Amino acid sequence: MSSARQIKQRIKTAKNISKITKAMEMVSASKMRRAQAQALATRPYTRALQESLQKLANEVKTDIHPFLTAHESGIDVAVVISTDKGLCGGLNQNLFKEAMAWQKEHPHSKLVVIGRKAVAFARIYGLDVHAQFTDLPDTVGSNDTIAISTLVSKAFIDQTFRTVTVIYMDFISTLVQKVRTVQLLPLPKEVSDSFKSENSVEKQSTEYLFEPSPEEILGDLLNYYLENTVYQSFLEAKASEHSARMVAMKNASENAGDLMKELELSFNKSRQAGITSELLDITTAILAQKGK
Amino acid sequence: MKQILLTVVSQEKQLLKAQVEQITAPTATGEITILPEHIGLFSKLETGELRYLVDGKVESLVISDGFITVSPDSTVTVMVDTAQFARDISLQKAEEAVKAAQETIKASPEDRRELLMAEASLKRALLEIRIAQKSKKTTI
Repeated sequence: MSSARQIKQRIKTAKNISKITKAMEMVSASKMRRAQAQALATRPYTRALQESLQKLANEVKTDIHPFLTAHESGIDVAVVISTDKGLCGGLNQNLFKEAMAWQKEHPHSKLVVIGRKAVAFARIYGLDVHAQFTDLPDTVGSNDTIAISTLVSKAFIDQTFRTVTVIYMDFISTLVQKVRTVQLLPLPKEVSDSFKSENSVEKQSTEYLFEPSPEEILGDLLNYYLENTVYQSFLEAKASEHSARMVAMKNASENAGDLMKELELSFNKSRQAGITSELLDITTAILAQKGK
Repeated sequence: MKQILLTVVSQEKQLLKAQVEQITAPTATGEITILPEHIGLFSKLETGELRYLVDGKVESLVISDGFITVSPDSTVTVMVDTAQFARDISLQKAEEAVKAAQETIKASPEDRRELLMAEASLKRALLEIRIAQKSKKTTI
């Protein structure tokens, strides 16, 4: 009856795996909730920043900040935000597909890869990597992402980078995450336009004091704006990662359950078959003895 | 009595939203006090204590560098920067990231096929070791 024992072993394996996947599912669920709450908590800051920029745009005529103007020299750069760990379904595959497509469109480009998965991806496909960041904490704080925004903003001002794009998984719902490609630098048109259109529109009569100078404040605000955009995309990416992992683990647990059911059925069948054949043996033996 | 709507936000969350009577903030050019119907103001804040008056009582909040925006309609928004420390070392961190990338490139051989083969054989070897260890355990 070695086959029955083998089946029993397999049932045990499936059971153990389903225990692990269930635990991972629950961990991801709680992490996802936290990431979502974190993304919501940043809204007031984003709103305050946008309002301040808007007000500043009404008051100041300077639109010659380097973040707002495009220049021709330098290379195109994409920041690819992936995960450090796997087991999250097709999340990273979708992301890398988009990154490859972007790379094809921009022949002279480099990547800034974030997460171990993206590092491995860039290595295997032999892509040109400018910088890599790995092992970011599960709950990203704004101070974890600043290094990335400093890196790109500095290289952009030096004219080493022509444009900077972020590619990340946007969190839409627990079940749906979509790849999103956002231009980071030069800052998108909505921001720069608000400064340009100002010239034609009649200036509002409200008077503002600036301490120290409007230019300095604008520079600082735009820097915060950039940092905030990077931080936001990180939060989205984290929420996507955890929800994708949760769904993947849920599927795995369900599959393990199905497998266990199937194996139990065949185990019972083989056990029953064993009993039947034993019974047959006994009855034939008895019949044979009676016949004598 | 007229009041000011004070909102304090950081990159990560909203820290405070309250109706106050008076605000004293440490700006880059010195400490200022804002009363209702103050004229519009943009100013940089320095690390220090933000004091505000609620029902005649002084409350305070320690803030890091940031911004204060005073609108003529008596709303004050304070944006504090909780990531001040990280900004100081961010350049160094960025350089480290570039270096790490260069090391990865250096560590990987020129021939990609070779790399893939080496990685695959390493994975197989590791798997074999694990299986061997496991079967040892079960036999004992």
